[in-house]
Amino acid sequence: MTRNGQPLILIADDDPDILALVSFRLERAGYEVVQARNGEEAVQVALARRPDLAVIDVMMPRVDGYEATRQLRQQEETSRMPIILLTARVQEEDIARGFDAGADDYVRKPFSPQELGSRVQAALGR
Amino acid sequence: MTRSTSAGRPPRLVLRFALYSALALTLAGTGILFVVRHEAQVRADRELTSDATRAAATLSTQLRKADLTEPVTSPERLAALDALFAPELMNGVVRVKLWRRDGTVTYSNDHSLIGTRVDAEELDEVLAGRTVRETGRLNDEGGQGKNIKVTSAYVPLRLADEQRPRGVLEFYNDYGPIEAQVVATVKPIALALGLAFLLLFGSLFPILHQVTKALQHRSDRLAHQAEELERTLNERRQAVAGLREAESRYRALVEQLPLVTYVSAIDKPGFSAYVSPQIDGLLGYSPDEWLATPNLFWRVVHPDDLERVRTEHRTGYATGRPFSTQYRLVARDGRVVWVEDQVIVIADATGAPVQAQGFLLDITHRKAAEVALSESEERFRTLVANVPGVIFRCSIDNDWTMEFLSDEIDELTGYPASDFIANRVRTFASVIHPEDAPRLTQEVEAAVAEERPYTIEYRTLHRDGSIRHVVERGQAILGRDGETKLDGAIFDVTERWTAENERLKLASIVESSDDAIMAASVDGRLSSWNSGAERVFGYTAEEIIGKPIAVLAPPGKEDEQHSLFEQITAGQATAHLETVRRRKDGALIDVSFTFSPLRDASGAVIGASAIAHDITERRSAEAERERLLLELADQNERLRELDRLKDEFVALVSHELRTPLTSIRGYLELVLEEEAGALTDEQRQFLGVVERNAHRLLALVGDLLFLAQVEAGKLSLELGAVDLSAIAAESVETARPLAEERDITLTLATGPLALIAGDHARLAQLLDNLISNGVKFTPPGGRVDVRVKGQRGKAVIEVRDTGMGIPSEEQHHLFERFFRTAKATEQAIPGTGLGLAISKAIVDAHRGQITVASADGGGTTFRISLPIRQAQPTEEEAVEELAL
Repeated sequence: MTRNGQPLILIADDDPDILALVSFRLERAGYEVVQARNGEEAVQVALARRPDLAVIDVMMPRVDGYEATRQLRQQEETSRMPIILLTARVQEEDIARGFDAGADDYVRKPFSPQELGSRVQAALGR
Repeated sequence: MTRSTSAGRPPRLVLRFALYSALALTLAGTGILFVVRHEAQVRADRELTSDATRAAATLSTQLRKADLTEPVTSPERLAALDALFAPELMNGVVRVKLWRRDGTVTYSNDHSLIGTRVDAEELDEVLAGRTVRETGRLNDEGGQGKNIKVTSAYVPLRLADEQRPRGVLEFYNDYGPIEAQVVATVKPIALALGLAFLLLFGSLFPILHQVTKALQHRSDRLAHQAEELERTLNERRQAVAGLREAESRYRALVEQLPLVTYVSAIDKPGFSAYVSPQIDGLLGYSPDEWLATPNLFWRVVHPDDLERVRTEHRTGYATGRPFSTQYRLVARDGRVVWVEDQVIVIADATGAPVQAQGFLLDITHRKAAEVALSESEERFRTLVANVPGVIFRCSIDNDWTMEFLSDEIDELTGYPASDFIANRVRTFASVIHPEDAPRLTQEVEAAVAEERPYTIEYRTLHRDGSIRHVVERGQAILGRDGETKLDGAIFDVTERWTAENERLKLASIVESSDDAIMAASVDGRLSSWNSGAERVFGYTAEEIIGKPIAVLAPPGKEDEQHSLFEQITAGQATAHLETVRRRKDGALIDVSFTFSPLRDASGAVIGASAIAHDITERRSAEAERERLLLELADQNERLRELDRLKDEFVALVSHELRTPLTSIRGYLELVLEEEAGALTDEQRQFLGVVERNAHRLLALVGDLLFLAQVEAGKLSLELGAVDLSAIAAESVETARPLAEERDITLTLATGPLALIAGDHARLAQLLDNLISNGVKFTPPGGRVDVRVKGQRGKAVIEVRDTGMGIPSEEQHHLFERFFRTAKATEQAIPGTGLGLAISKAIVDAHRGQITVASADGGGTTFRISLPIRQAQPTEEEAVEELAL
């Protein structure tokens, strides 16, 4: 939670266009957003800023979304943080792998930014 | 019949009968007379007494005292009394007296009696109060008249009012009338009796006379018979005497015969009545011993024969016919004597057997001869039986009627020899193979005519249905009865025949083999060479037989050949030895050799057989195969690599195509929402085109990924209970805007249908594909009709359009990936050619069927039938089942 009471959301994606698109969408929806370019950075930022929710792309260089999720779940500070995975993979096994790593929800690419917004809202409102 | 002792006495019998009858009749008459008289008298007495009593009672008042005290003398009184008594007198039959107590008559109707006195004791009795009756004579009391018999009744007479009787009143009457009455009664009876007697005697006399005569006659005859009997008896006595004489003569004769004669009572067998003395010589027991010892016979019968002899005797006696039997007896000294016992059974008049007569003949010597003969015959039989063939003697006729046939025939035909002897059960002709019978007849007749022996081979039929091959040798001989007979022997050569056939068969197999088959003797020289060997090695049989097998070995291989032969002579076979040999033309060939030792019947090795298979061709075929296998493995490796590359490509497409598409769609969305400022209508229209194409691109990526999944066998269904009608309704509504835009009538008809097990999303995709295809390929103004219904346990979906149709030559390519019809391409109808391939994959995954019916230009109907699966399988099973 930020100073002005808005929920803080971490966005992690290696595609800057998508990063900008999602950030824009969420900021317009009234959230504060922090960004990360890869999995490693996502973990560092999450531990530093303690966001209320993280949206993490699966296919990222260095540390992928699965691994990042697993690491965040191991940290005391982020173990209970809601995590939504973004995935272009459609196989059932990919989705199952995401849940195994500790994700709370997933959104398939291509996604509508509006749809993502409503998923985020749902995850926060639980 | 006994002799009669009354012969000659019949008259006496008659007289006696007459006398007895007369006597009986007289007695009867007298009896009747007596009874009648007595009855009459008693009645008269009773009447008299009652009359007197009644009179006494009546008179008691009319008599005076004086009438009883003094005899009445006055005439007046007399007259008065006469008048008084007159009614009682019954015209003089009854007379009356009045008595004074002292016995003086005071009054009598016979006046002369008045004053007389009689000392009558009876008066006292009467005066004591009793009534007395008596019979007497009239003159008993001193009368002078006729002295007639009278009967009297005395009654006491009491005067009126007096207690004591004053006198006695006597009534008496003449007995004469009573007697007359009696006589009158009895006379007719006596007459009747007399008459009866006369009649009886008169009628009986002739009968009795007749009987008498008959008796006399019989008596005479009996006397005659007695004389006859006497005479016969005398004759019999003489005859018996003669018989005894004869018997003793015959007995002497019988007892001289060289056999034992005996007589037995039927219930006591064993010489119980008579046995001739020869028995002593035969068995050492005297006739007296036999007669004295009832069971001796059964003791001397040989134990082995005992049961049989008993049975034979019993049945012989029962039938009553003469019979003969042979058995052994054991003499006193232990000798065994064979006897023939001839028995005659004697029956009585009723036919019941009473006696057995017979004689025993000593047949010990004959028996011994018989045994010797049968032993000799047995030896001959054994000899014949041991001949390994059928020995026979038969007539030369159509049946080959057998006179003798050895037992070996049973082995040959399955029927005993006895069946054939004299054609008892079957003829020998019946076991000859019909095809061979005429030839046999012909050959035998020819041989007989030429008086030579013959040998012929023919077939016989066995009972079990098999056919035997036989060789028959025979010759005609002249039989004892002058008839020509056939003597001969038949040998079963079936085995030899079969073996020969087998050998020929094997030879032909060897000859027809492609392989080289040869045989060599122990010294290594070739002795047999088939046409296969000619082909493989180039030598003809004539060229090579007799040459050493080593000529086939190429230079340097001779040693191998030698060592092979050493193994063979040691009895070891060598199989599939692959080596090199040289043809006649010098060319080297690859062969596979199999060597086996050849053995004779005793098992000794007498050579070797060799089979050589030319493997030159096989060798090259093997090399080719190995090359192909390597090539195949290489290709497989490359295919696996390609597969891997494809997987990588799919992942790449997934990510690298979707990510930019996400950006495009996201930013388009933002722009269209006018986040970046207001849009003109033209800008909005152009951006719409971009969005539509982005969407198409996304759909294409989705289709490619889906097919990649199917190819990889990774398509899995999320099974659930699915309402096909509802899915069809959604798909129709989704397609409706496009249909309206193209002026196409789109309808949906649903019939009753149960829920089916299926993947909702995939089935929706299927219907979307088919309906959007129909709409796309139907010109404006046409129709697309969708029907969903249940039919024979299947769910059926039909999508019918009135579109351009599909030519039949294109129909079977319709479900291939990227296939597009010529018209679709010509008319630039947008599409990737993936929709129907995906549709088919979905239908297949649901284990259904998709078919198409179309005519060029006449519309198209797609028909899908899916099994209705009521039970929902578990998820794992579903994944497993439906994985492609």
